[in-house]
Amino acid sequence: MSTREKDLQEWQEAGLIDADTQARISAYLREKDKQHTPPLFALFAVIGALLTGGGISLLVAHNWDRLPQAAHLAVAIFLLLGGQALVFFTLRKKKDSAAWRESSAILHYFSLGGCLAIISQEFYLGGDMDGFLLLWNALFIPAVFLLRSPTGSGLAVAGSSIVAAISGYAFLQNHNSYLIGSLILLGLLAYYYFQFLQGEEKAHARRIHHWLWALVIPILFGIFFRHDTSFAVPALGLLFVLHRYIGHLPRLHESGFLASGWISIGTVGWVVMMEWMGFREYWGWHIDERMNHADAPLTGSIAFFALLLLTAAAGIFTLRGKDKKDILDLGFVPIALAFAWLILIGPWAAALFCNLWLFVSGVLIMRKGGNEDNLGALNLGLAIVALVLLTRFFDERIDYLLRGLAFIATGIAFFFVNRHFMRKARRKEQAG
Amino acid sequence: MKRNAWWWLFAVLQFGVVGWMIWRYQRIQSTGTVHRFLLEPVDPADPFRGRYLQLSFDADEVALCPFNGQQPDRLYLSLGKDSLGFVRFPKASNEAPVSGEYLQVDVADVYGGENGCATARLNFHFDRWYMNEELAPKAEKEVAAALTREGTRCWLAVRIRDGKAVAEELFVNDTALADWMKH
Repeated sequence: MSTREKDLQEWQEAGLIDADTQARISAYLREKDKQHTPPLFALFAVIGALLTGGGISLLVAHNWDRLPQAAHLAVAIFLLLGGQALVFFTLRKKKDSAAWRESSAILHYFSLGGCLAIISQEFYLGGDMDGFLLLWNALFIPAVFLLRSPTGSGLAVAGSSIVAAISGYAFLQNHNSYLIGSLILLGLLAYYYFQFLQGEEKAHARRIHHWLWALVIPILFGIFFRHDTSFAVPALGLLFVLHRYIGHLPRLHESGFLASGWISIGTVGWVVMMEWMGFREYWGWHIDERMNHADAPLTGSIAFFALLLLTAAAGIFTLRGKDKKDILDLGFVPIALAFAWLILIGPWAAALFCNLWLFVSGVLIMRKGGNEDNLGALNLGLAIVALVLLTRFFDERIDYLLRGLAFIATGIAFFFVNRHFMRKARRKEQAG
Repeated sequence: MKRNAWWWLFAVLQFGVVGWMIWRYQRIQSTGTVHRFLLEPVDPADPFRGRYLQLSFDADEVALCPFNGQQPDRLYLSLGKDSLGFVRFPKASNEAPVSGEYLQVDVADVYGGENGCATARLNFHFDRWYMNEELAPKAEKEVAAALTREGTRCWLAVRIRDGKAVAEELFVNDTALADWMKH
């Protein structure tokens, strides 16, 4: 007898429920158990399918060149039909089982790849990895939607992103169509992520997808700056600001810093980009040079337009945001203002401004963490402040005397802040 | 439409794409005209399709005259032969020729451009020779060693039909690679 049955028995004996209710609850729970796949079973099914699928790929890659062509093509067709039949069976008979849906999606993915690889081997098709992966993932995507498989979606997001990265960064002629194709696939998968995954799937699948998308977008974002990298850093900074907004959208919201890839990557990414912009050399060499001695007109550069667009988007999001939580949500402001300082005064003013903003942000986050007894926020603020100080400690452009005085002043300020918090905490304790 | 019906539709689509690929290349393989491309192979690996000899071609450039300053994405090469029977490209154009055999290729880049003429470096679609994982490294070494000997030639027989091509056999001198490696 299970623990649950024992509990029901006990409640019935105690007179809390009658025998009829006990029987009905038992029947209901047994029926529910039949439909529900235990999480561990689904996990093992996913791992098993990934290993088997990977094995199929490796066996195909061995290249059984002693077999005649007809046998090779028969294996290719068998792999395709086998994968299709498995998906069909799952849709017909096992559509409520997460383990079946996940494992048939994974096996279909790899069997489709194996089929296409055999055809490539057999007809010695050329070396475009992006073209090969694009066809493979495009043919697979319907299965993601029909099976509603998060693992299938993850595989297709990874595959399509690799296509976009290869065709986008490789500077190859004739690969623009691959890039456009992969972006269309990613658009469809984003629709799946936003539309289906948020509603019905388990938290771990949702969270893995948050991290996956939050990582993939900045990696592919650089494609737009491949011809002119000057504005890539501030633009990425703005993108990370947008990450934080996306993370706060009600549909994608997760409680906890690490649970939401959008918030974690957005925050860390923004801090790193701000730190990067805290170097005077960045503004002097990359931006100032580009603005004053550009061969091509600045307004014609796609990077500049992207920067303006993102600034506007980030600004609109900020203004529309009803619950402004902390200074990190105003992340686009220092980036936009740094450009104003650069134009009005010069590169050093822009760099100094970025450092000051980052430092003040760190202190304010620490204060917030202290006020709310939030150790995570306190540590984040501390990490930001420490990063700013550490990079300035090694900044050879600032005099030793000035650096020394600034460090001592900051250290003393920290002692005072610390004392303030301790007194406050004691007062709270006494009042409690 | 129910999910099962959608799946039938997509399964037929997948099968159609795969079947079309097989038919397309099989037709070139069985009915295309054979041309001989002189080679210099090396051996890398692909995670999904296995080991192969990366083929670089002796005739991998073509003159663009007149050159209008715009790099074309794709070219159509008229097919000719040198005195030993290896392929040469007497003419390149942006449109498929109305008569005569031709090959469709991608352009990797273009250099020169002075005096109204430039040179286009070509990307052939048949630049891989897939091999068994044990044979490929061995083949690369043995072919490289053989090519240093005077008079040895490595070449690829390619079937071409309506501008599309499929590699048929790789030869060292006049022996197919698989047979040559047995000696």
